[in-house]
Amino acid sequence: MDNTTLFGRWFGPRPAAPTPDLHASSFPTEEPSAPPAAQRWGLPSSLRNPITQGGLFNFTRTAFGAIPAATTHPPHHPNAFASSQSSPTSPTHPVPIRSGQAKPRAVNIIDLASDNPFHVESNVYSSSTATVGALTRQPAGPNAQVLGRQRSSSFLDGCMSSLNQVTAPGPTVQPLAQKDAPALGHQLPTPTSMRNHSQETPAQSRRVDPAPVAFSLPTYARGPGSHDSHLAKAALANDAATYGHSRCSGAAEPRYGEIDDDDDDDDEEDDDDEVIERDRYGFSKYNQYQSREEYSLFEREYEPVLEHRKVKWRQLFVDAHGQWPSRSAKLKRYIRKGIPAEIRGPCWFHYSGAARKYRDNPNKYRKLVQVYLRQGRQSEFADIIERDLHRTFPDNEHFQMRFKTVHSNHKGRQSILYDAKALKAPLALPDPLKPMENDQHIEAKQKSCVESLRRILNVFTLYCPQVGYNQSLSYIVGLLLLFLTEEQTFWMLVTIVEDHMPPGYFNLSQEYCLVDQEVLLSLLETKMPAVHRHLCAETFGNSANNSGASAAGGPEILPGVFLAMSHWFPLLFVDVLPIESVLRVWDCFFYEGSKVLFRVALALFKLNEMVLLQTKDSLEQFQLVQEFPRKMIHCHHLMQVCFGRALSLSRTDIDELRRQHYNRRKRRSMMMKLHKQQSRTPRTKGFANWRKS
Amino acid sequence: MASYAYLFKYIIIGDTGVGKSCLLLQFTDNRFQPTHDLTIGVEFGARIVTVGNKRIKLQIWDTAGQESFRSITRSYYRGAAGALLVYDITRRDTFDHLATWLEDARKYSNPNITIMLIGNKCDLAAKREVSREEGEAFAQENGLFFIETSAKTAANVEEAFVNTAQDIYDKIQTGVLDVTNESCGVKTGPTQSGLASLPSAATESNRGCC
Repeated sequence: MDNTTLFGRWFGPRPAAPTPDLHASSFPTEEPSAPPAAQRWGLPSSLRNPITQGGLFNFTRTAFGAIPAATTHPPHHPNAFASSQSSPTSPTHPVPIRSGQAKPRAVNIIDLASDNPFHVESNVYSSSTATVGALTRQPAGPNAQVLGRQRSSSFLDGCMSSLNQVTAPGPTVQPLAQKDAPALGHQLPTPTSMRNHSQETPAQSRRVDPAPVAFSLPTYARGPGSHDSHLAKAALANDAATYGHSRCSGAAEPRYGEIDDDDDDDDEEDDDDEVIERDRYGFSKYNQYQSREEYSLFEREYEPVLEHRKVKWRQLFVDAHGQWPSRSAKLKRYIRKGIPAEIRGPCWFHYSGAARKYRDNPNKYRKLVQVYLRQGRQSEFADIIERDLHRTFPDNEHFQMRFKTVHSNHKGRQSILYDAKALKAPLALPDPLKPMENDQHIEAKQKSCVESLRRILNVFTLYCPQVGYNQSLSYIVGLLLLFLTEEQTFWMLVTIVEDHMPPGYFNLSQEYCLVDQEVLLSLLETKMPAVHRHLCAETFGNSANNSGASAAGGPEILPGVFLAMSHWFPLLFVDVLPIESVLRVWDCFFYEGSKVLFRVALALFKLNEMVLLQTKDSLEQFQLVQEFPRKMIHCHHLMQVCFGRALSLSRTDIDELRRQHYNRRKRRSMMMKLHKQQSRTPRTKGFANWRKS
Repeated sequence: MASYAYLFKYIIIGDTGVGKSCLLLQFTDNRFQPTHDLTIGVEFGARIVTVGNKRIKLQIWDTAGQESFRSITRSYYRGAAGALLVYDITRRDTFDHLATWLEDARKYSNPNITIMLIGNKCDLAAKREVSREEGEAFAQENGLFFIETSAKTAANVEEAFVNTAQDIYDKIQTGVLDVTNESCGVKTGPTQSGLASLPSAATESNRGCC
């Protein structure tokens, strides 16, 4: 595959908006018939997670502004630019795709059999090369224009440079855009044109599928200083109308927020009366731990960082001649500073080693899915997985299982009723073996992240029976699904469980979890003795230290407050840190392994050292430890502290500590057993037994 | 900081999905989330209640229900004065597992722990699989308190927590529980007399023995 395709996929805009068929023809749940020839390698376009496309698309739009949606160019077109010129799309407006319009077929089918490391299927890969071609030639600035033309043979540089230029729109952009736009076929709107475009939304949205769609405020709609909610909503409506089909919840979904007041069952409190502002991943931007203002501040500070990193990463790939940059100190540094969101999924997939597993096990996932579908809900874990599906990221729009049914009230207005029955009886969820009935909206939802989540978790219980299902995996898979396709996510999960975490980490006994907590405690003792003393003093009294406690045997070696952190590692900090911070942690985790988790935990302590030292009792400590990670919104700062010299850790140190603590635990539990034996049997006999043993 | 006479530590245990987190949320925040996040590890909540004219702070540990997390959470049963053992009246299996939970609680907690058996989701009468009588019988057999609650309608939620606190308070009054021994899950508050919490006094009273 040439660089053109690669970078077109990575840094290009979102894929051409798929039709709802995309969802309907997702993984072979119902019909295990052979996939079409074009899809036989295992990850056809239909397998791509539509959510991811939507989610990433938000980001892409942040970078590019509104982008034409429907471009029907052949895949791998060597000169996509040329085809983009002939595209009959409007120069100033994105062309919305009609609901019935055929999706540009197989935008980028990748041959996985090849050894090329770029043959990694991803949502971002599915971007239309042609659109990228157009983008490449976007008159974003004098430099971009020159570059785009000079290197039409190598799209890599062209699209990258245009990316950079375009994402930093300046005064020079507009005149050029106006001049060149008609010839180029597509215009990449500047902030100004985006606004105009937003204002024209109602007319625009009328041209498309009239089905109302789920709304969320995309990031691009509210840049710094843009607080015009009307504008934002208009832009939003346009976005939703144009691209709604590509989102899981978008397909013909009703408006959020119109809740039928008459419904008695709808007694749950709903704050959906106003549109929830969501980030590019579908999470609400603010919550009880971070206010809207804090988030805006963070966004303002972080956006330039992201832009800068994108420029650097572009150069990195240029230097690597279109191959994956090999492992190096430089790459490590780059990853620590954050992987651009567009290539996050593929980077994780490649550097974690999941890509290798995936290549080594062709069709394995498919086969396991078939096994799962055959056995249905017989597995001991099926019920618990089912119950957890709607409890995984319930606030994320891609995971919302709040089974909404749509009704038209007497005013003829569509409104949503929260189906209380479905909420109360999660087990009454439709059988995955049978196609959904009745409500197409629910059906559309079922073809979403939640369905992938269900399949992956169930299949994993088959793949790895010694782990089966551990609830923390549900969150991990959930987040992965926002970046990768279903099959990729599965192999990422396998890689995490088998390679990145110590063996048995997610097993029933979770012994390694406790070992890691002890390792963290001892690291705390070395790196932050004051904090360690303070935490231990509360639990063991002033005189007792760690060794004293461990001599006593038993689990009380850990201060009580560690209970509040027991989920940090098994969750890999998902749902512990704010989402952007989790992603930054994961960037490093997939490259450097589990020692990163310790550094992050230590950084959290470091950043809150003073407050922790001021706590007066375990109550305050508990409260603090539960809350402070959630407030770590400034991810860049967190990572800076995390990789500061003070917290430096080597993998061998961690391995050694793990080994030591594992053995200590074994010894302690042996001592405890012995102690029990002694207390049960007469003293002399017990002693004799001990001698024998 | 609001003063309180005593601090009681509670744990909430029971199968996954029975509504432990929802009970806690209803008790501490007076609200109900139909789709509560999955609890991994332990979450923590606190609220002050009044029992016998004393202000008592309840420090509540809401634990994950899945078996895998039991090895982590049960280490901390020891420091609890009260345990809320929750099952779902609409799911027979959650009731059947009570024996295991109780065994765990007895094994790892202090012997004087007060256990309240809670049949949750009593608003879903139509789906009931475990009768009230069965719950009562189980509680009686094992010397537990019993109450049926609904985290959704808030029915009996307050009572479940307060009645447990009442029993613990009675145990303190009768000398069964020693407030100076922190492993009982009971501590005296930072200020007994309601004076402003002086840092030194607070530190002294909080640094218990052990």
